[in-house]
Amino acid sequence: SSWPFWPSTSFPAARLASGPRARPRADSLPAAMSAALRSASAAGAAICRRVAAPSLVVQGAVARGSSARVAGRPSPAATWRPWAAHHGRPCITVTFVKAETGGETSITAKAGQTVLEVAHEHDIDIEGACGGECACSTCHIILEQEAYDGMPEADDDEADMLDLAAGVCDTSRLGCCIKLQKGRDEGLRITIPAAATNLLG
Amino acid sequence: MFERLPTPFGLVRFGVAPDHPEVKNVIHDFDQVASTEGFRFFGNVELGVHVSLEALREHYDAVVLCTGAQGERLLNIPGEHLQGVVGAPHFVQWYNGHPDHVALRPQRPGSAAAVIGQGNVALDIARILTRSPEELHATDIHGAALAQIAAWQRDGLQTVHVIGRRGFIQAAFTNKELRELDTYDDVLPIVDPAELALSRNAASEQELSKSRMKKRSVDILEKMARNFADRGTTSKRIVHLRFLSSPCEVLPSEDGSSVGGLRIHRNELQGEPGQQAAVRSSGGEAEDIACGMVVRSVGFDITPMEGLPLDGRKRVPHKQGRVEDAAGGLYVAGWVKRGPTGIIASNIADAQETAGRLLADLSSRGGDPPARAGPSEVEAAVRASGTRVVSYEDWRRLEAEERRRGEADGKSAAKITDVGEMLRLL
Repeated sequence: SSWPFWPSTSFPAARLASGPRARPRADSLPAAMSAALRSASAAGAAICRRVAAPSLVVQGAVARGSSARVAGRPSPAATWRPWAAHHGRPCITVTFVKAETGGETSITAKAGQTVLEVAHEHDIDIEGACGGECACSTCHIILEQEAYDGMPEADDDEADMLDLAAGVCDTSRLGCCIKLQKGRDEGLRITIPAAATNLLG
Repeated sequence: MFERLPTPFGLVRFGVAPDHPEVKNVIHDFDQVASTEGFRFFGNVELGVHVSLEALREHYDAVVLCTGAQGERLLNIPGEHLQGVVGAPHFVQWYNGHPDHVALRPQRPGSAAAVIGQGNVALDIARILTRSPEELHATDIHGAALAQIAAWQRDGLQTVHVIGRRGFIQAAFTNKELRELDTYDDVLPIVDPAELALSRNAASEQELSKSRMKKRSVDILEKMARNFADRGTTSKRIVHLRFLSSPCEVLPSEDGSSVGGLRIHRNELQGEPGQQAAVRSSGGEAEDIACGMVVRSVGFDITPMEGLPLDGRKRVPHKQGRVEDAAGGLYVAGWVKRGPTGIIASNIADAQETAGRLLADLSSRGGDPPARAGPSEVEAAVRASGTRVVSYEDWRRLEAEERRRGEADGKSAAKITDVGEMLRLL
């Protein structure tokens, strides 16, 4: 296989967050879909027209940060939002900068994707040990001051994890917590600090 | 990869708290590694029993020891031997269903338990002891352990004291774990406002000013200090975080057979910012806390292993993970390399360092590598040793069975806790 390191496509036991922190799990894609994404990311130019990753919305699973927190309850069948809901979403150009080398990669993302999802979809070298659920600090990224100031502040959950990130600074964020927005994030430059690189990629 | 148990993942399976399942998502990355060509998993193979380190070094170009820190540090105080004193590693592995520790029969705590330590493990234990068993049931917590904890709660377990020798600014726990204590309907975390104030001596204030994490912990702890006033009237179970206190003796029960209480004394911090030590305060009186269980959570420890050099500080001498050893080809990664500190992210960076060193060494070796019989020799020897080798596919079948059993019971998974049963299933 040309991409042996893509996260497992087996359907995980449902422990995904619902509520305010629901984020689609890239590793929940069926094999055919992820295969399509792998070949599509190489195309680059046709990104907006290719099949988008369906969002995975799981009901009745972990509610993070609430007093009724219940961990790990197996969910009923997941509800897949059809790909049509993502077809035609606005596209944004963002640039990933690898701090270690200075190397830059500009890619076209879709509004609503998180920085981490975009990075993994385009084979950008960034770790995401907890699968994008704000439970580790490995997707630590650094923004420019103006971009950082233009975004809503990190909530307590994200800030708690960011406290632990190697090389955290005043304009640090977690990639899994930033949902890209058309307009605001056009031309966004995202620096990946050295410690966050993904050796699996 | 050679693993003593049939199941892989180490502390990700047995150390992470059952109500923190998102932390275990890293398993998906591990599955990906396992599916790469050239990776093979030999489960149920014990180093030193079914295969020797010597044989491995002879037949592989490089051997990486990732054996962790299996032991624990002791308190070394009178009464530590009493029935009812248990080490955190064993206690956590009991409720996490580790085959070696499921048979632990902890002494009943009575109305209170004391956890010695100020790290996230100590907070995990306090939280598991005080959270609603109905809520915890849905996790992959070991069912029998949860039933036991529920029985203790029905029997009157109301307070868990978490006792640390230094102030909150030096404490090792992190904000996520601290913050979540105040989010459960059943649990009231409290802190004595006087101990918060004591924690903020001049040197500690300097440390505080330099730490973004500790600055953010102040609000959380001040809320817990406001909770302190409710401790006499609350119907919730209490987690009492205590600072600047050290245990000096475990007190026996009336009949002398088990733990009856814990005697603690007050500490003060002395020294320069960043290097303050907790020193027993002169003139202060000791305090006796009534409790039936003492859990010692003051750190893991690397245990000596045949073939693994250890220096005077019980650390492996290494350079970027390459063990300083004449024969070469031996590496360490993880806690056995750095000592038992750090989170998953720390271990990722650590493993990258060792892997980088190893790859650089192999590529710079040049010439003909020494003639080695190759891994197939080791494989043959392992199979000849009589152990039933568990493959990664075998593990995935066990994993599926654990999930299936769990779902039948409203849990994310029901771990199989007996190795014999695992092997019979395969």
